[in-house]
Order: sequence, then structure tokens, then C-alpha cells
Amino acid sequence: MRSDDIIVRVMLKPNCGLENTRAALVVRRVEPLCDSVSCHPRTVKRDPNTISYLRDHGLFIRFTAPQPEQVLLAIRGAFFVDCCDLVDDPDDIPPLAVPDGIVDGGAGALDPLPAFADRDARTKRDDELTDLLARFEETGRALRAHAESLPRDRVLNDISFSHAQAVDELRTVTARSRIEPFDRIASSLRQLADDYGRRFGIAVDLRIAAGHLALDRAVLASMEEILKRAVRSCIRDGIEKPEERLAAGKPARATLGIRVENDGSDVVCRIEHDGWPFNPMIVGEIARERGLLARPFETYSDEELGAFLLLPRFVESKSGNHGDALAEFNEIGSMLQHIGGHGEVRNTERGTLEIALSFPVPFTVLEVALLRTGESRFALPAQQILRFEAFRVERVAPELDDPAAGTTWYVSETDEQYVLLNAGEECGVFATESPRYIILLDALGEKRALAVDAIGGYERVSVNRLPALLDRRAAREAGCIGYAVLADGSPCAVMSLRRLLQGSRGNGGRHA
Amino acid sequence: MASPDQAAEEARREYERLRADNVQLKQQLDAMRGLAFRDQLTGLFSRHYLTDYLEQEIARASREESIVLALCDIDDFKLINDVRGHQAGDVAIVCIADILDDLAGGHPVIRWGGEELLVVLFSTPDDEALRLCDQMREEVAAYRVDDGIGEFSCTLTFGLSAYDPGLTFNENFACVDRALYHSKETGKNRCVFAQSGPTE
Repeated sequence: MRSDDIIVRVMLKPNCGLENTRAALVVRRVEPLCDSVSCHPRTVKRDPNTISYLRDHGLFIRFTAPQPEQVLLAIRGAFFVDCCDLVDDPDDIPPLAVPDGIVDGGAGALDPLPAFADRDARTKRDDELTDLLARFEETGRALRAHAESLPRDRVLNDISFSHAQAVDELRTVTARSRIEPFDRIASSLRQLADDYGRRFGIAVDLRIAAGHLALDRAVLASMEEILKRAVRSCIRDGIEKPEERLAAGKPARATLGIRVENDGSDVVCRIEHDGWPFNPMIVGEIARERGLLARPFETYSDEELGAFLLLPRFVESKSGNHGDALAEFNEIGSMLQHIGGHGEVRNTERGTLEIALSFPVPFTVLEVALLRTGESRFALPAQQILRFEAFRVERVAPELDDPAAGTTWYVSETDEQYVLLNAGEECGVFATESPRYIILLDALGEKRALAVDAIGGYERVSVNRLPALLDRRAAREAGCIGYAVLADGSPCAVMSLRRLLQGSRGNGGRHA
Repeated sequence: MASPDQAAEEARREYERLRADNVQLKQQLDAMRGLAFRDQLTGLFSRHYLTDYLEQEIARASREESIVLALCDIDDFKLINDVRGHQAGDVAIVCIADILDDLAGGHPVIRWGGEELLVVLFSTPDDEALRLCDQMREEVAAYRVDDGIGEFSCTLTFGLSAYDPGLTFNENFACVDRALYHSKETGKNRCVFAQSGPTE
């Protein structure tokens, strides 16, 4: 203990409940006032098992601060703090006994015990439920076959129909019960990035944008494993050390971003960092040696060469200067393929490297804005929306028109220019009657604006795949990623700006 | 027998003593009231505190100083309850309440409804109130709530309105409620100040 360290014991009010959360909040209150702060038990925030310790012995906070009185005042200012007194001898602090006999003495780090038991029990329940559902479906099929063989038996046909509906609902409820927010794995990814950053001497900030997406927990578990591998690979092999970055004119701290988006039947995780881009020449050379090029090397674009990187067994050994990095990409590609996913690697125009990993999902839950243009009602992921503004026709900027490209611009209230998606006559489903709002959007790093007649608010919806009877290709080209059943029971197409832009590029610039 | 001067001095002392006692009693009453009108889960002031006491205090103070009402709502709180369970919902409310109480710096924070919290900002100009609420919003969004199973974060949407002494409390509250509704409608996780002039 340093001489200027102060240790205080904080007792919470008796029977206040959620003691571990309240104790963590006391620490949060004092953090900004301290130069350094730590607490015992260390795991109060995440571990409800510390509650009994907190009730019996209190929370111990060790801190150094320029004005210790202010810290003590902040602690006493918390409503659930009963009393707070100074601890003279740190040896008086009782250790925290954890279930497996390990003792948290306060000095050593104690990682939280993973709740394996809970997870196993949950998996077992999931399996039981899935089995039961399969049996229901089997019975339903038998019943339907029997009912179809007796078309005149209306009662039997009604029962068969009701049964099919019940099974449908059961399937949906089962799937929803398995939904978990992506944020569940965000903290472990952050922890991992910090740990690897320290281990490999890389200064990196991890930014995660998941837009409150929630998905099946089995998919989430696979995704977590693959993302961890990808994050490790990026930090270890893809990002320069701070001194190298400074020498290259980059900021010392690298930025590693993970952006998670729904893309219809897939969830796409885009991992992007501002470290080294991949070298298409090396990848092309390996592809040529392996006989994987179907046409002359010169005709391959960087994107096409990037797609090789995630091919399982593309690199056979970790030889050469880039062997480790390439082998890691291969491993990630193999893991991805194992769960039916796919991916690509590309160097972006911003000079960053982007790894896009697509995970197949039965359905996802995400927040959407409900919009109307003319007779069309549709939903857009909230994640892609920057903000709304009132539509002003004078802000549609004809002087910025580029007749050759067929582009019309909209100038926002903050004087930023956005490409207006539904200008002119041929706007398809996006044709408006009398637009009242303009929605400012961001996807693929590009700014777009969409004029709409009405906004029906936000809603969290589960996005389902489009029925097989529809022309899925046409729907995809129009930017549709699936459909959702809204709270009022009505179906609604879910559009994606990213899909729309990709579709329009595929069509030589036309959209919708 | 005491002289008139002595009697006057005695009376003055008695008056001073009574006044000091009165101040002390008032402080004790405030403290007792503070304890009595608390929400059990969050430790914030309850709605009764507002209706039984603070409303009159606001009406009185609003004639002398600018007061801003800030009503906030936890975004997608139902989803937290549905997906993670009610325990997680309780943990989230406790965390958010504590952050608001900490940053409010002595201004009363009231648990208005299930996941609606009201901050009454006395002697605070509009721009300062907006800045403070934005700070609260950012702080809450950055805080990782841990319910023992995993971490998640919450966001808040704020509606703010300057208290108009010419209106009743309920009319003022309707303004701030409208601002919150507008804020929710236009994107959540944001602060919107009610526009002066005719309401939308």
C-alpha cells in the first residue's frame, strides 16, 4: 500500500437489495474524483455472490485522490450508503471466499467464475424444447396428410389447420426465447481487445456498433468464437506498433471497429481496422501457385483476391513473412464455413482493411423505423438512420445536380450534402405523394437522404426471411431484406439501405 | 424585578432561540420527508414527494427563478425485461437512477413511473439544463450494466421544458411529456427541449 492510499469501508443500508450493483455504483461515483481507485471484492459489479460479503463486511475502497474529503463526501452522498469509515490496517480486511475455495485477497486478480452450470442447463432446456417442437411438427404433418385424404371431413380439416397454426406460433415463441442481444458478447470482446493489445504491445480502441441487434443464442455463441479469433488476428498481425504508426503518419492508437448489421437471411459483422491493408500481389501469387486462378491474374480485382483469404486451406503452412496472418484468415474462413457462413476481405477506399463475415440466422430482432412513401409502408433499420428533418423542397439542390450521373442532392439543416434517393419520376416503391420528412441515412460510409410522407415511429421487430413464393431476387435488388409482423399484426417489408445501394450498383446505378 | 432593558434582552434571546429551533425543526422535517418519500428500489424521490410537497415548492420558486423540468424514459425497457428478465430490469433502473442522482448535483430526481424519471432543475438556465441532461444521457449510455449474467447498456430519451409560472404544474408537465414524446418519435437516445410558442 502506498503512503497516500486511503482505504475506506462502506456499509450499505440493511436489506436494501441488489447490494453488489449498489456497491459498484458507489465506486462509479468516486472514480472521476480519484487518481486511482480499486475495490474489494473486485467482482462486485458482475458477481451477485458477493452480496453476503457486502452485507457482513461492507465494500472496501482503496483510492488516491487530490481531495480525499471530496471522495468521502461523494460516498456518503449515495442514498444507499449507511456509513463509511476509514480502515487503518489493510490486514483487517476479511478475504472473500469463493465457491471453489479460491480466496480473493484483494491484491491478486480474480476472474469471475463463468456460469457454466447455467449455460448447460439452458442448452439442455433448448434441446428439450426443440425435440418437443419436432415431435409436434411430425404429428402435424401426419394429421395434415390424413386430413388431405379426407377432404370432405371439414371438422378434421379445421383441426388440422388449427394445429398447424399452433405449431407455427410455438415455433416462433421457441425461436424468440432463444434470442439474446449482441451486447452480451460485446464486453468480452472489449476485454479481449484490451488483453491482446497489452500482450502484443498494440494500442487499440475497439468500437462496436450493433444497433441493439438481438439474435439466436446458438448463432451468437458461434459468432463470439469467430469474432474473438478475428479480433486477435487483427491485433496481432494486422496493426502496427505505436512507434511504427507514428512513423507512418498515423495516430499511435489504432481503431478497430466491429459493425453488426442484419442483411436478410444473414447477419454481417464488418471488422475494420486502420492497420496494414492486405497485399493483393501476395494473395494473387499464392492463388496462382495453387492453381486457383480461372483467368489471368491481371483481370482480378482486389475484392476478388480478398475473397481467397477466407477460403479454407488457402495457405497450407505458416511459412513466409505473412504466413501467420494468412493462416489465421484461413482458420477464420474454415470456422465460418463450418456454420454455413461466408466472408470476404477488402481494402477500403479509406485505406482501412475490412473483413466482412456473414452468419446465417433464422431470424433477428432489431429496431426499425416505420415509414411510408405513397402507398408503400416499409421499415428501415434504425441503425442506418442518422436523423430526421422536416422536408424542405428548397433544400433539394438543383445546382448540385449532375445530369451525367443522374444524381440529385439534398442539403441538410447542418449544410451537409446527401444524395437524394427518391428524386425524379422513377422511384418505384419510394415515390412520395407530399413528403413531410427527410431521413438522413448512412450506409457503406455513404450519405443518402430519403424523402417520406409519414413516419410511424420506432418498433423492435423480428425480421423473417421472405416467403419462397415471392421473387426474392427482385426484392433483394429493391433493398428488401425480409419482412416483419408489426405490433398491430400487419406485415411490413424491411428494407436496408446497404442492400439497396449494393443492388443499385449491381444494376449499373439503377435502384428500386 | 428586571429592568425594561433586561426584559427586552430576554425577549430577544428567546426569539433567537425559537428561530434557531424552528430552523432545526424545518431541517429535520425536510430530512424526514426526504426519507419518507423515497422509492424503495432506486432511492429516488417518489411521485408522492412531488405531488405532496415539491409541486408547491416549484410553484413558489418559479416566480423568482428559472426552473426546467426534464422527463426521461429508458429506451426499450420492456425489451430488457422480456429478454433478460425482470431482475435485469431492476438492475438497469437502479444503475440509471444512481447515475442521474449523482449528476443532478442536489436537484431532486423523482421516479415518476415505471421507467420514467423526472429531474427538477431549480435555478438552471435552459442551455445549462440541456447540457446537463445530455451529459446524463451520455453517461448512462456509456455505463455497462451487469445483471450477473452479462453486460448490456441502456439509453435514455429526454424531454425538457422550461417551467412556466403562469401554468399549473399539470400543464407544465404536459409540455415536458410532449417534448419527451417528440424526442422518442424522432429517434430516441436524445434530448429535446420543448419549443416555446404554440404546441404541436
